[in-house]
Amino acid sequence: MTTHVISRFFESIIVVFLVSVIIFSIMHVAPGDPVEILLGQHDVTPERMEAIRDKWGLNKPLVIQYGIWVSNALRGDFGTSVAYGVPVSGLILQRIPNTVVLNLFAIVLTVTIAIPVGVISAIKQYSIIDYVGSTAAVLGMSMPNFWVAVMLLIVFSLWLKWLPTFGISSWRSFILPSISIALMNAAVVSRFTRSKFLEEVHKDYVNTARSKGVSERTVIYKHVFRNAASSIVTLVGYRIAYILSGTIVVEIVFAWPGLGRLLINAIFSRDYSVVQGITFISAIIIVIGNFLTDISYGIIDPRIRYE
Amino acid sequence: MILKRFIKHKLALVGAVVLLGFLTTAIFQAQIAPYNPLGFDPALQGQGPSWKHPFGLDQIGRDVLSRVIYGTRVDLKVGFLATGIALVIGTVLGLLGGYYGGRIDIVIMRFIDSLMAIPMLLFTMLVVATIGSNINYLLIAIGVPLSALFARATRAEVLTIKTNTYILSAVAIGCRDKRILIHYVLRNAFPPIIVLATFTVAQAILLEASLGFLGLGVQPPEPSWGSILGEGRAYMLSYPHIAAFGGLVISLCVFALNFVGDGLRDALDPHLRGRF
Repeated sequence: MTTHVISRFFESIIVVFLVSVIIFSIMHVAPGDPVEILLGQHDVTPERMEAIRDKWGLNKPLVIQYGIWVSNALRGDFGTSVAYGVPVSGLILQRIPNTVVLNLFAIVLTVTIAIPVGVISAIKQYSIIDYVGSTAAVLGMSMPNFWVAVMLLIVFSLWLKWLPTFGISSWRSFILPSISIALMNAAVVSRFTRSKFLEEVHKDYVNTARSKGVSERTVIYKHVFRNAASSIVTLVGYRIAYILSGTIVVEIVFAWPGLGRLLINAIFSRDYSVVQGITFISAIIIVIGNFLTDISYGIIDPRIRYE
Repeated sequence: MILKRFIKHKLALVGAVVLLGFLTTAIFQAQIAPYNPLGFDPALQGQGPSWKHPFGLDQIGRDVLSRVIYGTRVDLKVGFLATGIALVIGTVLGLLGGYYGGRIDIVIMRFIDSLMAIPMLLFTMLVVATIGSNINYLLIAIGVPLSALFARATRAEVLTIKTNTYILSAVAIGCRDKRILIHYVLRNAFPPIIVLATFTVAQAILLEASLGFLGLGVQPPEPSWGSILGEGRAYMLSYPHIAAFGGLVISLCVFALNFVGDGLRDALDPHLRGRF
């Protein structure tokens, strides 16, 4: 187990390194002077331009430029935002809590909808519940989350006036955005839960338990659930990447003061360092999430032994 | 046999018919669209659905239905071509990594892991922010991150195929690697790849829609499903029908693709059930 944790840790470090290479190269694959990309269309004095060139070593060979960029980035320095004139890391830190809280709401919602639906449709396979659940899942996977967000906003905030429209005013502001983000994820997770359960239900140990006279409740919740749980937890863990992706667009619909909106504003004001910073930080969050998921997989499921 | 099983899957058949409808629309857009997608009538701006304009008119008085019809070609193009790019890159990487194993495999897998660590939408946004949202760049920006999915699926498939005796015998009689990879490994790995491709087309269309909604997709005035939503974004509360119909069409197309994927999966290999 310890060796597994250590080797997964080193793998994660390598992945972070490769991600940094990818993000760095995108800027340099693009035609044009990197200084111009960094500055966008913002006018600055020639001295300031020289300072930027100096700071990022843009006159030096690419490898050294990369070294400078990545060592700054790992220390949390993504440069200065040209639009706001303050350090990028400060801007990101300021917005991160709003996005994280929204994501947590969405994850909790995803799990509380998806797992019961998946379990029930598997236990009562080919029943009405199964049919409705499965169709709803495909529907949920097909609707763009921002469109769901717009429709919810129109119906519940504009027409019915039950819920607030934009920004964060109270806990009620979280309802619509988290539903919009959770829907597609719940669809994926419930389908997966259903198929995992069906796979387990037909295994021999379930028949053995039943023939021993174990009650159906115990069979499902104690035997099947525990065996299916590890892969479901893994899936939910890996969904973090998708959830983060989904947040960006949904945040725009609800004018949510989070990372998504910061990112879009940065793209339109050609504030490149902010875009780079957010991308890198999200990737790091995902790598950490995947790492924790992999480790917990081994803890939840004692059958898994690593050599 | 495969066709028979596919037809038995009723929802998949419905999906295939809907998809065929979208393809026809894309090909005969000029004949089908009732109005010019770029022509506008300021007097009618933002008017809701009516018999003359079933999807209503947008914020500057263009017929939303005609714009959606013209957008079909752009979106199917993005969906299929981006998937094509992803399929080629991903399958080659997966084949090489899975078949040869060892160092090549480790390098390829870490590269795939790092592609998957960047949220897809963020990756495409970063590319578009750097080099602009020309449709060719868009295809690459969507295709490259999606290739990670193909690489993983192909690799997993190759790892099981590799252990079969027919591969061992091919090696034993001295077949060249290229022949083994293409004729024996790839052929057998193909069904799940095709199924994945169907789902990926849906994902690519959703990505285009998200980008377009954010104003980063295919640039106006040329309509794409995403840009119709994006241009209507500022007016979504005053003219909800623009967003409503635009999104409905996207959902219908993705819905159809997902069902076709389900049906293909069951038809090509019933064992694959529940793997995607």
